[in-house]
Amino acid sequence: MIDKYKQGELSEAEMEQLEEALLQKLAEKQAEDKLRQNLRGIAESLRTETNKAEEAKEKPASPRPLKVAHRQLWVAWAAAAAVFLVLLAVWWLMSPANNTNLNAPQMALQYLKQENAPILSNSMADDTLSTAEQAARSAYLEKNYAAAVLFFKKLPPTTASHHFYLGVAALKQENPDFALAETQLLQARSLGQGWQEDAINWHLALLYLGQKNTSKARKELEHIIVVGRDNVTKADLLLKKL
Amino acid sequence: MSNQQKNWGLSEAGFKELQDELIGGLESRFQLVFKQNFQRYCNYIRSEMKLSYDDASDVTVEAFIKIHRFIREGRISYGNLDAYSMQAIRNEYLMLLRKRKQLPESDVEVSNLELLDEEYDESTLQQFEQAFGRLGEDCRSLLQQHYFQKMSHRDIGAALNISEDASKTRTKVCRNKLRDIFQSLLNAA
Repeated sequence: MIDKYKQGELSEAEMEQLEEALLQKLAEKQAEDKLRQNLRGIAESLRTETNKAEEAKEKPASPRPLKVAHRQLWVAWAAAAAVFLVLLAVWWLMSPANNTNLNAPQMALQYLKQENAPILSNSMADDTLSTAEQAARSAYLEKNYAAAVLFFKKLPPTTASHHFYLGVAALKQENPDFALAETQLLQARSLGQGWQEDAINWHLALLYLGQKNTSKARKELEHIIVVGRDNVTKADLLLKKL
Repeated sequence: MSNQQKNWGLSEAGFKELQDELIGGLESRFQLVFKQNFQRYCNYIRSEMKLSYDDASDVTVEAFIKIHRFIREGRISYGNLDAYSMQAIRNEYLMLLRKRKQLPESDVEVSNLELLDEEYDESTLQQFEQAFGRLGEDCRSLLQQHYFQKMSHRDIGAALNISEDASKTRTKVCRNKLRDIFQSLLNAA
């Protein structure tokens, strides 16, 4: 078929069919390349962990006098236990889900501060980015959200993923720009038509709670539970708080 | 061996959730399954086929890329995902040998799992990708939105502040440019 295509022997409809099949394959190939990169990264990190564990096993014990070693071991264990307890207490106090004294808007702000900004798979792939997109993406990945907002605004955003990243970056700034975040996330929702529904709902819920607009927040949280993906537990918790 | 053990530790509902996630473009559950099982599969193919660690790792990753696609397309069902994965890895190993010309074409045992089903010619796709890369940024972005992200002309039009018809016309122009470049690459080869 490709020979006929090359020689122009195909009808317009047949040519279009072949091109569309190739475009589809190209889209799949680019998604697979991204997946390959992710899986190789995981495999590599597992290998590093295994190597470290093996090295630790093979390392001979340091030749210290027995009594001193015992004493040092006790001190080390006590210090480790103390650090662990302090960390546990900090985690317990800081984690929004464990802090029963916080109300829903306070919890939402803590989630906004503590959660990692989402990096969505299959979007912003390196090989398809323009320079402007690369700048915006780098700022976002480096958690420089103010710069990310500037760069994404300059693009200007056209795709659902651009709008999503701009919306999240606006929310993640030290002083969140709720109005910009809302416009962008709603635009991402409208363009995406179901794309990253859970993540969009979650950030809109946090945004509305940040604005103390509980009715809109409730609607988003309820939607998260209906969709039933990653943020259900947290949404349920916030709903109970409302 | 319990049913869950045969299925990456997943219940049937868990597998359905994994499948829904992949269809929705999310990867976290799949990556977790990969992480939990990688070492075991990698060691299996390593000892079975006397492979180096790097080859065993590559073969396992490639098998999981196929498995990812087949789950998304609903071509794998819950039942014995473990055995399926082993078969997929063995097939990838045969592919590796074939690529290295260590195995004559006729000796490759293609299993009934259709894991060697690349229906398109790799070099044609490479040339097409090259042609796509030579398009201007605007055209690339437009075609990506329409064909990769499956955005309708209406949504593209709304995003670019142009009419639906204008989006269709621009897409057609870009498709024609792509065709010209692709045909010239094919004829030059």
